[in-house]
Amino acid sequence: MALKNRLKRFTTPVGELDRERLREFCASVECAVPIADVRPRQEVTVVGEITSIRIVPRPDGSPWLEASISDGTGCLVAMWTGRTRIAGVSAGRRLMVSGRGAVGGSGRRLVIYNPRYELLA
Amino acid sequence: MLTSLKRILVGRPLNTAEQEHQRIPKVIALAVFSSDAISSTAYATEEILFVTAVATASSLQVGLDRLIPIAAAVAVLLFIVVTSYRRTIFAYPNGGGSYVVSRENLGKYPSLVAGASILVDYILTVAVSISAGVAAIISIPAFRGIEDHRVGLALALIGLITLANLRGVKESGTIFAFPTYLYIVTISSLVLYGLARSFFGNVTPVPFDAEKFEGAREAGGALGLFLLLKGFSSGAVALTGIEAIADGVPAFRKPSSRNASTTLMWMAVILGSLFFGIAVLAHRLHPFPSHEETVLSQLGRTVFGEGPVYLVLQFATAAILVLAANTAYADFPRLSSIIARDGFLPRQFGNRGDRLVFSNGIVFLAVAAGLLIVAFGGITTALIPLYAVGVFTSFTLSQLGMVRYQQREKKPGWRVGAAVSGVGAAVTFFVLIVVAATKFTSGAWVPLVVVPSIIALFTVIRRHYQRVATALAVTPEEVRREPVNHTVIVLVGRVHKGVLTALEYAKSMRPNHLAAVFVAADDEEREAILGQWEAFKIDVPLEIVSSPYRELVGPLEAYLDDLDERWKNDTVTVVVPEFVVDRWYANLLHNQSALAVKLALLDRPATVVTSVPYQLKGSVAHSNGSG
Repeated sequence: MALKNRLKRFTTPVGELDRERLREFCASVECAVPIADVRPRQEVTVVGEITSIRIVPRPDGSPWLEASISDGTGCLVAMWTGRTRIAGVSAGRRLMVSGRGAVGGSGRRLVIYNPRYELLA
Repeated sequence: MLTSLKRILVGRPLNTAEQEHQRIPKVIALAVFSSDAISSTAYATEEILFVTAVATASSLQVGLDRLIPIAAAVAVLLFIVVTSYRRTIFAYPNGGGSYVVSRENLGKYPSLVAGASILVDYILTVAVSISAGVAAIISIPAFRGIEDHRVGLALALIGLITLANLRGVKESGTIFAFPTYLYIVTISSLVLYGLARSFFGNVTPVPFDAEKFEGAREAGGALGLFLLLKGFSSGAVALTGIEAIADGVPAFRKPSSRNASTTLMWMAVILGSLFFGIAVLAHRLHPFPSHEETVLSQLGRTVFGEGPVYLVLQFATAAILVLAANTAYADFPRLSSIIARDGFLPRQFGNRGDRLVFSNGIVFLAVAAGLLIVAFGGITTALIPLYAVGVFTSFTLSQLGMVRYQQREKKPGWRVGAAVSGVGAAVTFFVLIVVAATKFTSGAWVPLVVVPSIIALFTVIRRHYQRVATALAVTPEEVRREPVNHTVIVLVGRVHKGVLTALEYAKSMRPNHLAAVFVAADDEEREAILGQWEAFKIDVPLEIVSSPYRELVGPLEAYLDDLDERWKNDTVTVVVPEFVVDRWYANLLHNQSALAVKLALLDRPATVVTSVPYQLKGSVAHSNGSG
């Protein structure tokens, strides 16, 4: 069994290993819900890693900032309106966000508008 | 620079409309297409002697005695084949090589056998003719000592002919007409003058030199039927090249068929009389086979002495042999283009180059023949057994095809025609068996291995093309009418002129979704791009993807997967701004990420990679010093 695990470490792609590590990490955080289980109009707290950041500039209006967050089970978007950058919120970062889920944003994904957040690790 | 070098060597590109002017009149066609057949008189006699002559002066005479019957048999064979081929020329005015004839009448596999045999044969024609031509030059006593450079000389000649043919057939026809006629005239005078002197008794036969003798050493005493047949099969190489005219009908001036048929008759008459004449002369003058001096050279020196006429003879011989190689250059590319059009060879063989010739076929032929010459050390005799098998395979199939053709078409007089073709097929098939049987161990097995492998290759190529065709085929119902959900992303490193151009370009596509993507390795880069984005007030959303392992392609692919999930894209276009530097070596200073992205995403379905070039040349001038 141990040998099999060790072998797996050499044969599986790095990205796969990273995802697995992320899944384990997220599952270890209590009070967080797996993203796959989040439903709209629900007050939730989730944990995950930012896979990409999207800055939408509006030269004539209010810009916003989106972070795609993944915990290995699914993906949701944290959206902060009126700003283009938040210290610490950057691709590759792990964080905990809580707020009320809604459907919207780019690509009709699950979005939490202006969530509370806490940077982890 | 490469273009102008090519222009100097090969000439200016020709317009497609100029193709008709590339057709050639009979007098030049005779030189272009029949130099192959006629030139075989330069070595066929010698090849018979290599087999039939045995190593003592007395048994050499036995071999020489057999020369005339063998020559007569070859002449009869020639007559039969030519008679039969005249019908082919009229039946197939668009080129009736045995590949086409067997394809139309016998089906796929016979045609592939014929096609493969002839392709191999054209390559051998080049190799054999060139090595025989070189042999004619090194036979000249004044050039003693250069025989060590046989191979180099042969390769140089191949290079020369290749060049002439890349320029185009008509021009090379004009260059080459003169030597063919010169050869016909000198050999005729050699035969006539030699026979006259011999009959009036004032010429001594060639002195026998056991040192240089290279015939059959071990076989002693009487000459068996086997050796006789083997000698005959060596002589039968004189028939190679008849195929060339039938294959090349479209290159003749109109009316193509009539002109080609007349040319074929002229050729047969000239070939038959020269071959028979040389045999008779050899019978009287007793030349012996040797790798140092050709039989023809021995005859020439005996009849003319070592004066200028002898030199003209040798050089004319060399020249016509070079032209014989040229015949293959006229027909190998044409045949390979036909086979390529049928999908059995790579399509590139079917493309006409700048000069309206099938450049790829020409180059392939040159390389293959060059390799053969190197492999066999430029010795003609070593190549001959490989040669005849293919010729007679294709003769047999072609004439069988003509029997079927005439049975089907039932034109007036078809019974006679079918009978002629039938007899021809039977005779050539018999010769094929003789050649394969008597020469199996000395090289005739090679085509028996090579031809099936080529056929296997043909089949594989064809299967690939069919698979591609099936995969690409559409039915009218499949033509899609709903709008395409299009996402465009622009890959950015930092903001520069090239990126701005690429962003404008991306906007002009009016995609459903547009974003600029930055793959960040560290926070510093991330801050820099964010700062620039705000400073330049760029109104395109910027997406930042992290790259924990500092690579570009992996995170990009993961991001594209994510995008597909987000927007259910039908098509994603990745726009890559690309510098075009004005000096090629400056490329070394840029990491070719555009190229890497293109290569990596080539396999990804529904993904288009576009590079927007930005030429540095113009911009450096007016923003001097700023960059």
